Amino acid sequence: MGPSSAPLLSVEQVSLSYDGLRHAVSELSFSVQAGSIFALVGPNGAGKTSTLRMLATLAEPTLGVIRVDGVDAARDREAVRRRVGYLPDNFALYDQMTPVEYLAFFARLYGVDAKIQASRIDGLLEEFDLTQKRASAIRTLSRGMRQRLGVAKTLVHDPKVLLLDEPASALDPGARLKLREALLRLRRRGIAVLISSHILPDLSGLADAVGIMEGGRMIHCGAIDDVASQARGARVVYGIDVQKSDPARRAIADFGSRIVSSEETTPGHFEVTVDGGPDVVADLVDALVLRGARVSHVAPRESALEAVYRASAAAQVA
Amino acid sequence: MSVVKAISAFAQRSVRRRHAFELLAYSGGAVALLLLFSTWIVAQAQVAPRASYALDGLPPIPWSVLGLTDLFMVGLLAAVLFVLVPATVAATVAAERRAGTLDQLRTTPLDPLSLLAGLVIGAPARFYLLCAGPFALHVLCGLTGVIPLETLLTTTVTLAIGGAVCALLAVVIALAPRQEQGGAFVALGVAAIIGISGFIAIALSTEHSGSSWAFLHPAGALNSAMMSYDGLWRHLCTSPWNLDHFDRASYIDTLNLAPFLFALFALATGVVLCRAACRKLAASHLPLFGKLQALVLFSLVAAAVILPFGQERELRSYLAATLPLVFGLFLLPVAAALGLFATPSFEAWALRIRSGRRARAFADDAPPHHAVWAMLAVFVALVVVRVLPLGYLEIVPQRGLVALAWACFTAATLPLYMEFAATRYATAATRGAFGVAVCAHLFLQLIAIGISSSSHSGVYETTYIELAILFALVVPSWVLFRQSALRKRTLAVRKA
Repeated sequence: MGPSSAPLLSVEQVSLSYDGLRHAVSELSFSVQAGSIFALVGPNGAGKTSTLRMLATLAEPTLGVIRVDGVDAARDREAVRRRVGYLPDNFALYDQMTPVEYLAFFARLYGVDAKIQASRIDGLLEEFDLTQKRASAIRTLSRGMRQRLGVAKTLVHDPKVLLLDEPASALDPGARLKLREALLRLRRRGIAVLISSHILPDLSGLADAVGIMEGGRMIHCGAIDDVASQARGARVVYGIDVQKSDPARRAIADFGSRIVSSEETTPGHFEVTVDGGPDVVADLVDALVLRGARVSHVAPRESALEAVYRASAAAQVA
Repeated sequence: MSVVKAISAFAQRSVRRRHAFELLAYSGGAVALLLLFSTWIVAQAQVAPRASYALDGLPPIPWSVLGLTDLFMVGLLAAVLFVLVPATVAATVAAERRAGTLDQLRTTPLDPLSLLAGLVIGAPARFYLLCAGPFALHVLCGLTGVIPLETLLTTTVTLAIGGAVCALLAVVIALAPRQEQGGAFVALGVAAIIGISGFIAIALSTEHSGSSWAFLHPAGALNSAMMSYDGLWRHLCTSPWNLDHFDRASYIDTLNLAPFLFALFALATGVVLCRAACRKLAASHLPLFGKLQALVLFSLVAAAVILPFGQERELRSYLAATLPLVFGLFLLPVAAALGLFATPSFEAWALRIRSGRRARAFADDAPPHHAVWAMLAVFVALVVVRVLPLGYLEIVPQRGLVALAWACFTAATLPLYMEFAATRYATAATRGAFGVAVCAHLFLQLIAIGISSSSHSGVYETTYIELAILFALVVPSWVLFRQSALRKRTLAVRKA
């Protein structure tokens, strides 16, 4: 299912202040479409968790409106909770239970029909690769399995919106890959996913839209391609591997002002910061080839999302 | 319907179906063992001679195996329902708060009442299953005439309502601190509070003069119900030299009335506790009690403590002078605890003053002054209603009135300390240290009030009283000054 026009989650001018002085969240606005993944990124203390807690109806906004599937969260919390699955940061599980018991417990609390409960739990265990551990106590599961079980729990009532707060923190690469695959499957099922993280590489190629938060404010927000194109003028660091260093050094030195800085970190590997994006790099590769440097590999050292984030952060500092 | 679903879900979380039968088997086994034990005791008791001091004119003890087993069972049920279950519930709620799973439960579509029902009734399901055997035997005793049917009814109601209210109180205590800090300590604290007060209520119920207050605790009401008929319980749980109390009709009437009064008192306080717990579960940033809830709860407890004081008793001058102070001493911690848990946090207080809003007296973000002063007014009104008709003003010396006025003034300064502790200190440790200092000040005041109400006053006593008066004025003034400075500082930060 592709993204539709009506947003499943809409946040309009939402602010949250605990003491009237500092704003945990300030005038936040964004929306998430069905079948899309929205990445909320920012440093620690940016207001990501406060935002997710408001969306999960655990905190009440001081100002603004939150709508989930058209339902105002301030007016009908229960209806919003039926539509939302929420995985908090550093969440805990009931260690003495088995995954089946854990999922069945939440299925009952969410009022899932008893007739479809067993099949849904089996489906979730299958989807998150936990079938073999279905009868094991949760305390015996690995961190990755616990994380996947946490995500499975958020899906037990078939929500339309999924809120995940730092779901990949402290996971090994294999577990992150499995989580990423699971999120992509959810996107295909038409679920709107809001994922908060400060691990940008995990979000690259996963998120459709991004919101960058800093000090409680949304400093950059939009579809990831739009935001990336806005940042195309920003400085990007590329790693370039050549087989002959001397001609490469000369080519880089003669390239001109579009190269902001360059450094040969190891013999044959250059870290080059260019001002102008892929077009400049293409010209640089041509120049290297003409000088006989024999280019073997060129790749941006950071993803588009990282570049956007770095550019936004730099703009904030300035 | 969601209440039933929540109870069912929590019960199934507590006990797996296959283990439910095991627990029922354990319960039955315990009953069988106690039946055997009772048989052995009864056999021994019937052949053993009674102690010589108890021989003169005492009625024989009506030994029966079922009666003795029932005595054990009722004690067991009371211990489980009034102590063990509340302690477990408190530990569960505290653990859920600490781990953050309570927040996960709060994101489900359950309304707060259903969640509360799940925690109070569903979560301790394993204990209720263990109670099945003892309760079945208690019912059997009622049906076979070992105990009267009305006693079976009153004890059943007392066990049910008492268990529910104790568990509710446990939830409220576990939810009270701003940040959960120790599940095991909370559980032990709940068990200690309910257990110790239960022993006091039982002791009160065995005395003619104290039985009017037995209804304040389910254990006291249960003991009253079991002692109200002439059976094994009365003979074994009352000292032989107190058995003549049962000849007085007024004592029997009080015992008969205790379970009903308890049911009324427990239902009324239970409704307030339930609303407070639901409020806290719905919005964790709010104080535990609303101001009005705190006032109603205090009024119920104060009425329950003061009103049973018998009109038929004659006041002697010493008793007349000290009676309101004694009531006040008992109720002061209640008022302090309720006021403290109705005080807003620094954030809520700062949000209000920075927004320039004027505090409404009973709003959540208002300081607790009006609520505590209203509690004080309720206390004075109850004392006037109950003690003045006994001729208090004619008998009491002037120094007694002065002492009472001083005590009321000291109590009226409590909200200053509550507001300062909640808004000035950020950690539990600093609040605790401030609390200790305030307690020391109050203790000094209480001693001075005690001295001033007595007729013996020498030079040392007078000096002590003068010093105490000085402290009574300086300490609250200093706190008021600091609170004002904090307010100015908080507003200045906003302007900056």
